[in-house]
Amino acid sequence: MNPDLTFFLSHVRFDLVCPNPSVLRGLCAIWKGALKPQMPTECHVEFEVRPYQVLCDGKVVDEVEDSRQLLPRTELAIYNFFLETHRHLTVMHAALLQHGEQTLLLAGPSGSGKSSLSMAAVSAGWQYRTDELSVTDGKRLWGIPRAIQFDATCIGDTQPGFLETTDSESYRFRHPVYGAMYQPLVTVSAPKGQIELPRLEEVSTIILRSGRKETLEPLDGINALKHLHRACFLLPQHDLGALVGDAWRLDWSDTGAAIRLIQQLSTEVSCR
Amino acid sequence: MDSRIPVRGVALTHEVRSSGETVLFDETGDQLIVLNDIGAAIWLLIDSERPVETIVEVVVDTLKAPAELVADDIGVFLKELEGKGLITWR
Repeated sequence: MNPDLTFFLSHVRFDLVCPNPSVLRGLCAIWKGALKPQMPTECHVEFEVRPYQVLCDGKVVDEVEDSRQLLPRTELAIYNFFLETHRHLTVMHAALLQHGEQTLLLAGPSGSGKSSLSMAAVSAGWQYRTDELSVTDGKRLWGIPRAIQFDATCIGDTQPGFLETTDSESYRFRHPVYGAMYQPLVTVSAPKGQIELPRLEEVSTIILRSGRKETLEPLDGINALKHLHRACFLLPQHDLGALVGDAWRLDWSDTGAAIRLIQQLSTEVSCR
Repeated sequence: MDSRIPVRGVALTHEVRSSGETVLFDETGDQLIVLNDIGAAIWLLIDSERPVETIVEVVVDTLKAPAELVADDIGVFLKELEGKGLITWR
């Protein structure tokens, strides 16, 4: 097998064959940040995208009637395989950002701002690890660096200005499911060099909530744990107590103001 | 003497190191019990093998507390865990 795309999610290497150039272009954009392994590879899987089928290790795992469904359905198959191979790990719906020795885990329900604040943080110099899936083995924390995606918006909508200021590439392409809708997608390049995976006790956890003004306040560990539990895909497999030793609640409405508060937090932590 | 053997249900244990608390969640993630040190110790003693009477003996030996009082407290605690679906019996 000569893969058209190889990317790495945690300990898994994904080799993908995709003769469809449009789907391949989408997959390359989505996984551009995952082209280098963050940790030793322990297993690998081969995906093949045929005109109307998605195969995983030679077995048909999905069939579509409309080729426009191939990209999202391939993504779905990748996620399903990812979760299946991560049952022994704890996978959280949370963003992960690093800046020097500071690591932030941003958790909160959909629409609370994980992606928007991740983009803004990247603009402010933070290293992107993920805005969607953070993984821990109970000792260390790492991200699944998928391209940042926002909900489909109508034709003519403009992206937030801060997207223009990052060093990442920005794409807009016809959404394969919604047809006339566009899905803004911002690719993130793979990090240069080896990433030092932070230990759980080194992480500051921020629980996000959309509000009317910006406030950043300490959050007690038990409340933070409740939010982290809700953020977990499947059952958490590890003690997450170490992740809430430095927990905060961020209410925000303005991206720039929120990032300034986070930067202050970073300064406070580095002064301790 | 209580010879029943408590068995943990699906519950996840987290130690909040900043506050020294141990927290239990059930599998839905919605239910929450915060344990003090003794509660956490009892939880750790529930291993699907020790009967209640053995757990009581360990706690009495450790705390040097009256056996009857300890047995009553542990009985109430285990009943609470059972009520929340965090343990079953065998």
